[in-house]
Amino acid sequence: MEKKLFNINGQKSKIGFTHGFTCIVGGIILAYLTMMLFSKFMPGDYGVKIVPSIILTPILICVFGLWLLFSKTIFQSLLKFIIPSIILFIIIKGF
Amino acid sequence: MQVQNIYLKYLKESHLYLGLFAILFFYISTFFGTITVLKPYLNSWESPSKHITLIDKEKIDLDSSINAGLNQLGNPTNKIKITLPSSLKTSISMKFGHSEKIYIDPNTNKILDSSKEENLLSDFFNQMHISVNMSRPGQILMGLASISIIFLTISGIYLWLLNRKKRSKEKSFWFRWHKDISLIMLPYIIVFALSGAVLGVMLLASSPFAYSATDGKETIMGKLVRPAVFTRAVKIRASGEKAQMLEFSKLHEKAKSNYSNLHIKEISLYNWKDKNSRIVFSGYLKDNSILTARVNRAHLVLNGETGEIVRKIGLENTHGGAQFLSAFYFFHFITDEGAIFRAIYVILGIAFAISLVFGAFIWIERKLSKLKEQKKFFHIIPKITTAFTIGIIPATTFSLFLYWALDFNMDNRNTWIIGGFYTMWSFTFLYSVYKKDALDATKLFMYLNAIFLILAVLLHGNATNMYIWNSFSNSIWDIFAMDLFFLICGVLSFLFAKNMDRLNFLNRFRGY
Repeated sequence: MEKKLFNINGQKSKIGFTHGFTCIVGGIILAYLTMMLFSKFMPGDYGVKIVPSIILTPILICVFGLWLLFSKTIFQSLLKFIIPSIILFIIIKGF
Repeated sequence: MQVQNIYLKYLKESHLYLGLFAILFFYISTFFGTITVLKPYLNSWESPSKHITLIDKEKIDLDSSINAGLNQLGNPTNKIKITLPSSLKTSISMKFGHSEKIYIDPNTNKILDSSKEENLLSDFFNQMHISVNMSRPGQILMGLASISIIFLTISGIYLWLLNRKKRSKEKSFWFRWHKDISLIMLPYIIVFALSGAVLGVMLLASSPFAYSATDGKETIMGKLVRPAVFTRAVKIRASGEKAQMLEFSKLHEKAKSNYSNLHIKEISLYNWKDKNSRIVFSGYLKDNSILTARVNRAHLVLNGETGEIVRKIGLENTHGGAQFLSAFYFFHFITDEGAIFRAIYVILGIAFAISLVFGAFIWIERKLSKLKEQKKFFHIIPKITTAFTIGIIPATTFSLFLYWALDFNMDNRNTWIIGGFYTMWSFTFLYSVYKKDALDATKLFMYLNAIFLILAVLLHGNATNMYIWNSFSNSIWDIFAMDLFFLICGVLSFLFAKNMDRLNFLNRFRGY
């Protein structure tokens, strides 16, 4: 167990718990943040702002999930999830 | 296409795990959704009062029937909704605000006695389709399963593209059929997975978008989108002055001549018998039923006193978002389409259910061959799969049978019928665990299914005095079609059970 916890840079042959969890939760969070960004900056009325977000989010969850899945180490998958989330969060909240 | 081996492994593994999660929910959803496609017909089949012939639609006497309905409702004056008969429904239905619906026979203009009928079966099947009858949590689970199905579609196509050349023919039977059917059904799967995901989970979890679109001022999506996207047909208050209204048939004529492209499905009355009265004819456009389905109806608003046109809402003055949503929902609900479209959907639904089950069998086969190496012979997943996929069929038909077998005046009738469904389903699970071979269990389930279906048709005839030959000779086609459909299914499942040992194809299932 100890070995697994600290071996975040080692290559894995199976999808572990952390990797799977990052894919699912990270995919959902990244997709939501991306479409929130879209809702914020899209010009037009609320129909144009919100309806595309609702429909595209399920697809984006899958695309981001797949992107996060394709990482060789846990560290890489965490990095792929955390850095874009922080950037997106700052853009949404900061302006 | 090139991809590293480790990624291919991840892709396969995630396809497997998410598939095992999604298949449990999505199979049930597909099965009951396929039944729900027949909902309008099932609705009239399960209510004895609606076993009526549809006369020529042009000959309906709107004046006497609507006035009779208004009298029955207690002469309300606002928010009255009248649904006209169509190919899916032979009676006129009326309701006022959130009141109970009343039904009127268009032949005799009399109120139908539907006090003891509540569309129990079709509502129950619809609930099973939406949420496995578990309300909100079930709906969210179903939505998550839909998102998983989108992921499975994407990863499945990716796997197929990666392995197209390498894949040789020695792959298992289940694999080939799972791949082929799923690829053929791709448009169907995408439509239903995407609309299922939106309806199941995205509409409930859309507050973040509202939050970011309004910079944190509002979190309820409906409040923002509804007024922006959907046009309200009538925005006027009553004046308080009484007035004499024109006859309904005259107004209907006027609406037809002024908007010939509109197929009128519904009539709504606002501020009736007032100077500011409005009558709204709504329906779909004959040349564009996809963009004017369900959420984006075309309207024609007339003044009830003078019959002059107040407003005409077609495609040209509706929001693009509403048109898009209408097209998006059209393929899920097919609200206005007739029997042929629905039959195609039933066939596609069955094919998709088969593809899902075959996907599960790829895994089961592999698992069982591993177990055989370890000299074990029992695994719970094949048993669950049998109960879920085949056991659910006799459970459903058992509820059809109970619906007509139990007395209509019985106490707690609904509980008995729905409880009967769950009891039967549990029994099928027990029996498939008890029997070593899934094929033996299937045989009993198919016999039970045939018995229940044929008995349901006969008991339906007995209870309503409308046997299948009576509905044929009286040309009540929707009832006759439902009876015939059930009979054909019953006979087919009987023949299937009887000749099961002779079908070589089924030997693949031996030992599961």
